[in-house]
This record gives sequence, C-alpha cells and structure tokens, in this order.
Amino acid sequence: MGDEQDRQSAPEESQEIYAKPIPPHSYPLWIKLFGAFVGLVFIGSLISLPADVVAAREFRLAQKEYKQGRIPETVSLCEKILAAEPNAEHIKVLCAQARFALNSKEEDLKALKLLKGISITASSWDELTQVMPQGYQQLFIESGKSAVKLRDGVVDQEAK
Amino acid sequence: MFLIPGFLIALITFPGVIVHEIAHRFFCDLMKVPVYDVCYIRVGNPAGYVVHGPVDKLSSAFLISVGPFIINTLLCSLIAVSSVVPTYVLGDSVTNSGWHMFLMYIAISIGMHAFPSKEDLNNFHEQVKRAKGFSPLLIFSHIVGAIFFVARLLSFVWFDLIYAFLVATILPLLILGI
Repeated sequence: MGDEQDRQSAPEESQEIYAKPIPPHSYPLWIKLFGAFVGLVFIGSLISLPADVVAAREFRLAQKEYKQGRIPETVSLCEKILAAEPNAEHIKVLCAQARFALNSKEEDLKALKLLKGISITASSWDELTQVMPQGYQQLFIESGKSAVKLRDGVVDQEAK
Repeated sequence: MFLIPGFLIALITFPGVIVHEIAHRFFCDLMKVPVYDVCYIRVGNPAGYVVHGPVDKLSSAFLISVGPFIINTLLCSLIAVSSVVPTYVLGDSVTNSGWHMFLMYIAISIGMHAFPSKEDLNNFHEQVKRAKGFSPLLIFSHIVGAIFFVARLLSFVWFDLIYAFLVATILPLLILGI
C-alpha cells in the first residue's frame, strides 16, 4: 500500500515509528506461522497431484482414442483410470459411451452400471445419446438444470 | 452490480491480503527500501499496508508494485492445481471434496489480492512519471501500469474475483498441458 495514504491512515504515534525503519526480513511470529501454514497447504496439495495429472493425461488420450474410433482401447484406458480414480465421473461417462458403442447387451449393462448415480450434463448427454440405444434413454430422468440421471433401481431391473 | 463492502471482502479473503502485504514487504527488503510500518491485516480500509521510504529507482518501484502481483498469481495457481485437476478435468466431486474446497478458497483468496491497491498503483504511477530518459523498462512499466489501472476500474464488476478464478482454473491446466 502507498506511502502517503498509509501515513494518513496510520496511528498518531506513527511519527515515532517512522523515525526508525523495521530491520529487513524480520517478520512477526504469527506471520512466520502463517507462511508455514501456506507452505504446508501447498505441499499437502501436491501429494495427490502426480497421480491426478497422470489420470488427466490418460483421460485426454482416451478421448482422442474414442474420437479416432478405437473403442476397445478407449474402454481399457478408461478402466485403468477408474481403477485409480473410482469417483471420476467424466471418465465414467466416457467409458459408458465407449461401452455403448460396442453394441452388445452385456456392454450396455456395464455402461448403465457406470452411469448409476451420476448427474450427466447436457453436452455429455448429447454425446451419449449418439451411441446409447433408444430404449435405455427412457430410463433417464431430469436432474436439476439441464442434466439427467439414471432412475434408481434401473440397473438391477435391466440385469434381470 | 452486487456490492459488498471492501473490508468484508478483505476479511473473507484475508489469506490473500496477508500474502500480498508479505510480498510487498519482501520486495521492499529485497530492493533495500526502508520499511517503517507494516499492517498485514486489519478491519478497515486499506485492509493492510506497508509504509516504506522513498523509492529512487524505477526497477525497485516496478518490483515493489509488480512483485506481489506475481507472487499472489503464482500461489493462486499452484495451490488450485491439485483441486482443479480432479474436480474439473476428472469430474471427481466426492474424493477429498472438503480439502479441495479448502484449497480453492485459499487459492481464490490469494488470487483476488494479486492486483495492486489504489495506493500502490498511485505510488507506481508517480514513480513512472518521475522516471527520466527512455528504457524498455519504462515502456513496460507504462503498459503494466495501464493494465493495473484498467483492472482496478473493473474491480467494480468483480474483475479481481474473475481473474482469480481464471488463474486458479485455466492457468494450471495450460501449464500442465492437460
């Protein structure tokens, strides 16, 4: 903050304070503790980063594989990522999309299982419906604003 | 536009205020500019300040003003990255969601206080005006000063928050090439 402005807003006894500069690089204890806290947060945040970055890169690769029509490769790549990141919904959606594209009842069921409990965004839904059989599309209900999700209990019924 | 008192925003995003003032103080020390008084955080306007002696060189004034901007921007991006990758790229909103929200709060708070305050900016403009001769640093300082000035004006439409959000979400992904 600025010199003049700060002198105005500083306390009355500031004349005395300003006579002597603060020794350089000397910080109050609480500032040192705050710095240590921010440092710890930063280090803590880095713990899971390498695995997440690998997963994200593999996800981008899987998206490319899918676009190039290499469906089995997409599925195996997605399964690999999901083994490490079981809650990654974007991967689940891509994996389901690839499984539907394989055109088999067994794969369709696996795809539905993947979509269980996920709120699918409008853009993902548009892509999914390009490969999802019509009959399955009716099993999804609106979920919030421009999103859909699979009705409860549908996967078990379909498995029977 | 939705208006919230500045002191309230500063209190909510206090980690950013403290980091900004630490960086300000650090660059004063680095440039051997005497510091007479520091307030890292308080309830009031400004929320924090560093009272320093006169700055005789443009390079020092540049670093003292731009340094906190760089530090806050980098920290915002670096802290946010481990939350952004799982949440936005992988779509995992379950695993460690509390921790990720905490990281985003710290990152956005720090990013929001990247830009120099009005007083910092006035000081910097004064220094740029006083600079004599012609140098690439002077031209660059004019450009940076203008950008900061526009950013300051746009803070009325929450540009500081928008900037922090962009730095927290887009920059890490660009750096990591994801």
